[in-house]
Amino acid sequence: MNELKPYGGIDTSQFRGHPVDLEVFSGPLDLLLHLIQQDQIEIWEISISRITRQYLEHLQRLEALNVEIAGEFLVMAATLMRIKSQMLLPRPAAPEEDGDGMPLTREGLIQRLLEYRRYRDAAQVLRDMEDERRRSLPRGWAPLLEKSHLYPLREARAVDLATYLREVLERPAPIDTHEVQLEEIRLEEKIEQLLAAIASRGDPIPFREMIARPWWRLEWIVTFLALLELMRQGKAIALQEESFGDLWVLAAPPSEQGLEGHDLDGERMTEPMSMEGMP
Amino acid sequence: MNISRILEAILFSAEAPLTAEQIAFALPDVPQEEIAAALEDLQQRYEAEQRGWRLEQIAGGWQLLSHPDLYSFVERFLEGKRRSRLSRAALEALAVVAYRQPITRGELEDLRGVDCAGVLHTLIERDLVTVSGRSNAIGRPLLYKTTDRFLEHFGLFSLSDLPHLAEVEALWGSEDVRTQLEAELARRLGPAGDPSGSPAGDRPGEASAEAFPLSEVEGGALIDHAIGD
Repeated sequence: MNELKPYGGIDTSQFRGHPVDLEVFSGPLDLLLHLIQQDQIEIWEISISRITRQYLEHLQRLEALNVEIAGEFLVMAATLMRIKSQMLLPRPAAPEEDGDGMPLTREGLIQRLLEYRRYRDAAQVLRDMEDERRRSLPRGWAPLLEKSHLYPLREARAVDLATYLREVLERPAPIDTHEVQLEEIRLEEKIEQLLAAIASRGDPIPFREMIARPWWRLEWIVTFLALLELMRQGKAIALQEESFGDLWVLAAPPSEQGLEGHDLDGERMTEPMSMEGMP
Repeated sequence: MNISRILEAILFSAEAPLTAEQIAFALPDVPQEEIAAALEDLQQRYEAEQRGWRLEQIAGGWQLLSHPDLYSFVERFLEGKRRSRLSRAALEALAVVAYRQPITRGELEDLRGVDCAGVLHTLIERDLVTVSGRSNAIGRPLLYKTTDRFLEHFGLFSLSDLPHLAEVEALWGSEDVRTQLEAELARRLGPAGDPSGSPAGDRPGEASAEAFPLSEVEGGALIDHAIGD
């Protein structure tokens, strides 16, 4: 890789993208993108076809396709193309026309701003009305409030837990995330985490708070297994407000603990779990 | 049978404003006028007896509401969890929709000078704005209008109860604002008739003389700068 030209105030060492070599720029692609977005390099001085060609040549030299690098490149190349095509297109708003088909002149602009100002003042009047109205409450408003501090909960049964898990698993994942790497999560660790969390807090903890990465199904499943194991050992209690409702986890009172007295080891998790109807 | 008691029971059971038709449905043998008179009678009686609630005409119907005088107590009961207010951006967009409905997103954005997809989404989600159809313009863009929930949120009986724009305008001298706007525009875009100082720049395909894309001059920011609040 060639020496990087110093660009004002940017720490170039954090950029490690695929290197490209052009007249105006030589260095990692992600740095180039960053500079273009910062207006430090003009997009029309950049040949995207050349970047792509260099990249394809680089790919051919590689023996195995690195999907992660290929994906990053695609995103950056697409962003560059979008920026460039936007610059090449004529601005649709210019010359703008007002209702009479005349170009928007300074007078037209002032008219429009004055009109906008009217709506802005109307918004302020609406704000006063909103504030006044908020002082009157309709029937049925108070029960809509959160009652997290009340928890009139009943103890959840195994079938409630299974139903809850199924509901969680059926929840659609956010579209814009994708998991490429296969990660591991250890049941023993999850059990310890869960135990530590409920021990440090006297109050019930929402089950979903125990999930660090909600989009990751495996973590839901392992955390759920950890909860089942702790309940089996009598160390935790799960509560649920209503069927399909959120689960709350609470440390079991000391008297209920140690009934089974097993040490934690992964092998004990062989107890068959009723998962009928699970996806 | 005492109509007032029946009306009271029906109103008590409802969490949203009830129209006269909805109420009449439960009382098929009673003439509409009699129901309307009984409702007004109830309204006055509650006020005279200084009840903790009021009967109000809102969003085309009738609704029992806690008396605003008692809000401080209700608020304490609610532990400060007030009904949420709209953000300023959402309120502005809502004002434009309310006065110009039905309106397309493009027209709304032209007026405000900023992208309105986000606030429009919020307003639709809160059921204050809804789609009313499609415009006949190119591309047949969606048209938006306000909902009954909007009337309820602001305590209006109908859209004609919106404050008139002329009254709103009377709160400030439009000539005064105009002068300040012109000065601010001159500072930003160069003096009138010479737009060479336009921030639109001189790249190909950009604004030509005497034409300013409003998107270059965000309306709210410009007005703030010229006039302040």
